[in-house]
Amino acid sequence: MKSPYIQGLKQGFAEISVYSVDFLLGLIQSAAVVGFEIILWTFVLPSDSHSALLERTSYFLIATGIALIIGGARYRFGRELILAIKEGTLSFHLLKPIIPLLYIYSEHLGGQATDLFTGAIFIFVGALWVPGFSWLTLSLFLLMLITAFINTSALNIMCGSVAFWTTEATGIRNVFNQVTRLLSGQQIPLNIFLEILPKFWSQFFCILPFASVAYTPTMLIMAKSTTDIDYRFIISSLIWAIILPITANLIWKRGLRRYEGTGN
Amino acid sequence: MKERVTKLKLYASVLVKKIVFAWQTETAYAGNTVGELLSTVFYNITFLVFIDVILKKFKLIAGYSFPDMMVLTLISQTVFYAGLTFTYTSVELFIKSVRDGSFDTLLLKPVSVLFQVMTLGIRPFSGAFFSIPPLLIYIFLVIQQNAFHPSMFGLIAGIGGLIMGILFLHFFRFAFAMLVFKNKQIKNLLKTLEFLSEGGSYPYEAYKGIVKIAVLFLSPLLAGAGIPSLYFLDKTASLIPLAIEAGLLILFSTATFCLWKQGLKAYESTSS
Repeated sequence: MKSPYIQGLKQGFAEISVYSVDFLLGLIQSAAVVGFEIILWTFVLPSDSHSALLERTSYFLIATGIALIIGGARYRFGRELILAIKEGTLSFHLLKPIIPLLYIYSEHLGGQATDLFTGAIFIFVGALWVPGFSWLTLSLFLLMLITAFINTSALNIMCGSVAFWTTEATGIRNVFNQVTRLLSGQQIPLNIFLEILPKFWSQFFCILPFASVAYTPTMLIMAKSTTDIDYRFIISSLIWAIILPITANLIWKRGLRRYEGTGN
Repeated sequence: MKERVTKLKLYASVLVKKIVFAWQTETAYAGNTVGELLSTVFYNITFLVFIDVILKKFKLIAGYSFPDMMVLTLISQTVFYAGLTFTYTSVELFIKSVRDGSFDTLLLKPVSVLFQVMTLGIRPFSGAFFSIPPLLIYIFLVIQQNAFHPSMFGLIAGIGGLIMGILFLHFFRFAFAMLVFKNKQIKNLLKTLEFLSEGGSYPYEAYKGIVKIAVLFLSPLLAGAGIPSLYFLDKTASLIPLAIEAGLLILFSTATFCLWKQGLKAYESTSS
């Protein structure tokens, strides 16, 4: 007998594969986001700094690619959770002998084929301009990719759980989205952002979990040598990878009790 | 004449009822309205921080200083909130009505169907509620930076450009929405156009070559905000950008009406 999660994954993929135009449009959407970031940098960087522009292009491609692959772009999993709670489809999953959160995630992941495909292309193209990485940066990159996935999933669950308390949670999701976009380095490289800020704010933003979504793994892949690695981000990502799942689990369970208590 | 007055009264009463209904819907979901307000405030704060950081590091964005960027952002946000009030939800509800068949009910009413479609989702209250805090922030910054001192020509051309920009955004969205009569899966295309609108946050003259032309057709926010800003900031004395904007408005409004007529005809013939 097939696992229900594999079936969910296949079902999610089947839904998007029906509309091939949507697949293409999804790709254009992600390309537009990166495209305008790159265009902005062509505005601000002097015309002679071609290498700096190439480095920025590479940075945005990799950062956006990572965010797309781990689900850190636009809180789409959070949106699925909000919809499941709002429309009551969560109730069907609760009746089955499955882990509802995992099932919704597998179904969601199947529908994210466009993001996974686009993300992989972005990372590959971005990495072509990176001078090369050592074993240390590569190992740390893979470790940070895992923590990025854990942290992002937890943030998505926390964002989606808001719907247990207020069913119309789209606005809150947008807040999560905008804060993450800025503080994860998807909109501006975090090192540039932090060096402008006063020391207190710079250190404060440094220890928030958002950097782990895109900046930390991107920093590692872009590092020319080990001296370019800022270990504060790595330590912070690891700590959040412990704190966030526990917090997200607590919030989800509490919300679920409320959902079941009201008879949904 | 009497007939015209009666007709006008009918349209006015329909509009009033729609506004009352909008009020009832928006107050019924107060939690979401507050959430959306938070979202719009956060968007503007993050955008301001972003612009501030870039300009502290690089001084200019395509020749635009911080005060210039504040004028550009004020104009682009005005166009956006006008769209939020009059256009976005109407387009969304129109597409939904064609897809689920509730569009049929509009055909039975004794008021112009196009009028009903274009006012399906007007949101005057939430439009004002969401737009006032961020616009006040930008107005404050524009005054504080002493950024707004256009010539008489710049002021008149800028206001003209702004009005045309709002109308252009309206017809641009509706022209693409009319494609729903031919293809029911249109939502993602409109979402893609929204992503392409991101370009409206940057100065128009920064774009070069073919991109400069392409973005005008893809990003109504760029034409709607970038062109009036050129005049408000006295960056041009030429009327060509304004003429381009007028051309775009004519093109997209004509396309909207043509596609509407064709689509309606096809819809009525298949549903009868």
